[in-house]
Amino acid sequence: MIKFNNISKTYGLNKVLNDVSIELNQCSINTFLGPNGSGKTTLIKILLSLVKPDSGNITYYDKNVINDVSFKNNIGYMTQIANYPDNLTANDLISLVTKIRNTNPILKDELIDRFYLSDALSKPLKHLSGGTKQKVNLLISLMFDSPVIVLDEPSVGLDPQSVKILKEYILGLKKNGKTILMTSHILQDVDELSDNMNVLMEGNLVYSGSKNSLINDTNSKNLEDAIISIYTKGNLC
Amino acid sequence: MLSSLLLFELKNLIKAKWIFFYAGFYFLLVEALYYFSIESSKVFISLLNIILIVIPLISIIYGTQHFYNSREYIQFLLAQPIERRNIFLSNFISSLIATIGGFVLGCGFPLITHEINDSIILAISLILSGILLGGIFLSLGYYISNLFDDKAKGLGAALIIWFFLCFLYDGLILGVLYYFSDYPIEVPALIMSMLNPNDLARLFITLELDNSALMGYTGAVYKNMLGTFWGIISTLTLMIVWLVLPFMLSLRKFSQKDF
Amino acid sequence: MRLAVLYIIFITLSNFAFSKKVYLEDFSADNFNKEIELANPHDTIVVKSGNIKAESIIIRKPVCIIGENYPSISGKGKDHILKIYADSVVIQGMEFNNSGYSYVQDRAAIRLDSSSRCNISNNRFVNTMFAVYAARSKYLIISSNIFEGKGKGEAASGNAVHLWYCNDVIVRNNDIAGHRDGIYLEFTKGVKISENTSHKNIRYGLHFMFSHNAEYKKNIFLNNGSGVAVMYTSNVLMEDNIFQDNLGAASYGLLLKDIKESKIINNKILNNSTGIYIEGGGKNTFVNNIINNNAWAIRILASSSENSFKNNIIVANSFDLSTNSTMNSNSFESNYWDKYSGYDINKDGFGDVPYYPVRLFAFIVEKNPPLIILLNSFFMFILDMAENIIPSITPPTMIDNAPLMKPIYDKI
Repeated sequence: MIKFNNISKTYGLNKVLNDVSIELNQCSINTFLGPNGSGKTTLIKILLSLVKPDSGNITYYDKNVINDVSFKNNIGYMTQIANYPDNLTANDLISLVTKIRNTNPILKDELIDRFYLSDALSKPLKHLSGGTKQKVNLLISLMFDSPVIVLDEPSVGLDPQSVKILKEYILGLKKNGKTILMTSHILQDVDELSDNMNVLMEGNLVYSGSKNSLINDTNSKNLEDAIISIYTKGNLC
Repeated sequence: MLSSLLLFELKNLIKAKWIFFYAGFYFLLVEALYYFSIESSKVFISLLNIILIVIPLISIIYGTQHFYNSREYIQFLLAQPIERRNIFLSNFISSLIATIGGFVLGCGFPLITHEINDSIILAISLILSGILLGGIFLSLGYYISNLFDDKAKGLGAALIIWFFLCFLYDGLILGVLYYFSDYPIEVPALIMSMLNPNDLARLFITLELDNSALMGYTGAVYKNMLGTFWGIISTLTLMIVWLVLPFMLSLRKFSQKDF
Repeated sequence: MRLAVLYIIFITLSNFAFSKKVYLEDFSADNFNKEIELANPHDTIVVKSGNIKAESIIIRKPVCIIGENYPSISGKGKDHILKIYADSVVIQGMEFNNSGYSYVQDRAAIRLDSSSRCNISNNRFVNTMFAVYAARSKYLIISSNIFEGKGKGEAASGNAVHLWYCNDVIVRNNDIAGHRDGIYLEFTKGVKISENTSHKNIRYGLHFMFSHNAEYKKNIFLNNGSGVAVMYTSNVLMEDNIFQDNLGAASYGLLLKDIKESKIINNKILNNSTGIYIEGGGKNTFVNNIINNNAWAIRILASSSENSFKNNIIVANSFDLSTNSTMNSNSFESNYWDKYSGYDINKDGFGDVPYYPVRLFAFIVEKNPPLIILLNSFFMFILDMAENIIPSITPPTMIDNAPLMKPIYDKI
């Protein structure tokens, strides 16, 4: 459904992505792993046209999406750091995004209940804690019931209870036919959720496939060992 | 789309309240100047220096800083189905309203009220130059912040550009005119002055404030090239060029930029 | 001088007593000439009304010509209209127009030569090259006339009132416009010029040279090409005059060249390119003048010395004082300078720190005029401040040690 075709990107002298090609299927949870600076966030930003690739393209149902503004109607994106004009309330922000999308946020009320956000929505954003802001961020990215959900380090800053709710919710989304892209440092999350794992190192895609075949391929006992083994050995593809 | 974005930013600006303190600062300043000066000519000279020095400084710093501070918000918006152009415009226009609005509210209104029956044209040219200079240095600030991703570097560049255009450049003119004082230097001097937005604003006001001094000079060059109507039109036009050029450059940079 | 006036009045009165009055009903050139021919000394010819074309009318005896409703005499363009070679001639209520212009001759509406005690009052002069041109005459009165010149350039126009080698002349209450110089005096001593308005003249509103012991009071000099220029003269009193709106590259409210021992008191010098310009001469006193809204309030060249300025009000000028040398023998005492920002702790009305009226920038511009382009520059402002703290270039003796904290007058 979503295809990354030969994506390369260089920042100055620093090659961030080197000829990366990945194919993602509908109804799946796709995780992106790698050390800091490995290019996972850049790859996601290229999907959203936040970053322009030097070469390669991305297609969604065989249609090029780079620089396509309307494609973003299909995406719910949760940024790594939530930082909005903070004199306004989450409600203001929600109504702005609703106006921009011009669609009904059908999951809004359900998400507010799930993440206990009803009190926080009418307060200025600057009075909210980091975790609550992150939940608002999550709410906005999920409320339009978009077919593609992109989560950049979603569990950073969330309390354990919310992380648990989020994980359950993500699994539910998959069942409803959504395609989820997620970067994470936390192996436990990756372990529990991944259908398809993509490991990046220094801009190269070193592994793409299911969790189980990764463990088998590296002769490891568990995911943690498998990942460490990739990080030390390098390319498996 | 643009209007909803703009409304959102403006609402944030008004809630932030500092714009009212900024306007209040100008208001108190103008009232104090009128209170303590026996003649309004003294008020004008003081305001002239404020407009030539303070407004550019505040605008260029606000331009760079506001852009850096909105980076995450811009990333958030970029993931939504909006044209980059509209994101940039809403950000720029709200900054323009923040910096210029405070000045017009705090300085423009009291000045016009004081001068409505006296030097109203001078008051209007002071306000107009303040608006234009504010816009020019704001768009320079935006260009700088689009050019440098590093906040500290951007701030440094902004301060250097401010210092150069608002202060050092006139020293340069002084040096050149002194060094070549044996040659007919008026035309190069005028061209040099017209290349700097700060000097353009200064000449624009001086044409009104000290016209007879500028025109009373024994050579005819300044009179012919700056004389009344032509001087006003050409300085205004060049200031608008100075406003539009960095604005267009930063819009272009913004459209191609990686976030 | 006062005796002279009394004498003129006496003569006029005696004329009425012993002379006859002729009414000229049919005003034609021939009749007019004939009547002048036939008149006895001190006769009065009253011209009712009408317009004639005539020139070279010569008066060789003391007659009095009085017009009613401004009968007019138009010149033919070849000679002066009226030539007076007699004393005690009175010309009143007449209009003289179209004298014609000449590059060869100083063409005048009324030309007086060696004629004393004449009175030229209440006349109108329209489109004349020179209007009243007097040479070698004494005790003239020129009052309440209207001069409407239509001169185009300096070379092809003349002066409204032109006095050459005259003594003790009164020029009063005239309205003068459109000539080369409004009032021009050369080698003319003891004149009293008062209550005239001289405006829109091509060169100077008032211009004199070598004309000592004169008085100028309550005149208005407005919007003249180059203002007012007084030269090579000593002992002049200029009081209560207004010098205004003389704008241009070489325009002055009041230009003093080689003027000595004169008093300039209570004048208003407003909105000129240069308010007062002083070159050569010296020992003049300037008291209680208001110098407002000029580009340069006062410019003193080094060639002028020992002038003193006291209790003047100097406000809203681009430059207060400018000079071309660090040497100075002029003095400034207790003037009000609006740019002064000192304090007065003992509340005696005088600032406790001295004021240096010559800004560094003014000094620089005097030496390198194109630098005026940096007027109001913040850079120059900082340089001025630095110079103020540590004077190193500007003349250190150009200083007002006790500047006034408030202008003496409430209204400017």
